[in-house]
Amino acid sequence: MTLNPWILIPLLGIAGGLGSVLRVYLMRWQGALPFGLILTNTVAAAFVGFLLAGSDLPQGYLLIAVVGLAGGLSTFAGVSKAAWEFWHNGRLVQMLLTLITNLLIPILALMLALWAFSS
Amino acid sequence: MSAKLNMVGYVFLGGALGTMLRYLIFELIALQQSYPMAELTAIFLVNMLGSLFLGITARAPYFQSETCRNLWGLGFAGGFTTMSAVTLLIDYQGLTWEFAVMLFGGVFMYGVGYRVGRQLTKEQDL
Repeated sequence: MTLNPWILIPLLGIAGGLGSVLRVYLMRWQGALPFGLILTNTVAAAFVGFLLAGSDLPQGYLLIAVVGLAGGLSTFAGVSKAAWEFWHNGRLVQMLLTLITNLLIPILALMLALWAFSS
Repeated sequence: MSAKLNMVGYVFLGGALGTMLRYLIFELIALQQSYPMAELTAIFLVNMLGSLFLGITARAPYFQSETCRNLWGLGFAGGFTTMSAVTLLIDYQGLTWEFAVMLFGGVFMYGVGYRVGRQLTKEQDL
């Protein structure tokens, strides 16, 4: 089922807004690495994997959930910011770990979800 | 309580605007190119622009209020850029050099934005 763009785009916005609010709360978990940031990107990737493999949502709603909710929940700019701040403070190892963990852990979560929920 | 609700409201609004703009950019690029090149181009573009913009918001005078930070920094830049699309594309076509360029390019663009923001602050102080 495809939705009218005049309905789809506002619904995408609402889903993206909800994802963004959730992201801000999850990102509060800080430590030697930005663990909250890794968590948000991992949860978003796992959610996408679940939706693509395990849900029977119609096309339009799938788009809202994947592009809107998961897209709003995950963030690339936040990763760039965290990595740049480590680099700016001379913490090269933490910068590289931030980039690597924010890429590899979400990919692993996506693949696991695709595998676990595929019937 | 009211300040917390305000924060949530501005992050929601910024995230909604960022997500809608990202979708429109993806659709515009999909008109010009085919999958997966369109997806890669669109992801690269939004992530570079979003990182640059977040860097600007970190230092530029206009963005220093709590409201502007929540709306444009946490909400808009966060919702505009996406990591889930990156992971999905990597799962589809494998981890190629383009993604390494994107990761380090994002850090570079954030740094450029940060310097632009700092320059704007200096110009305002003069």
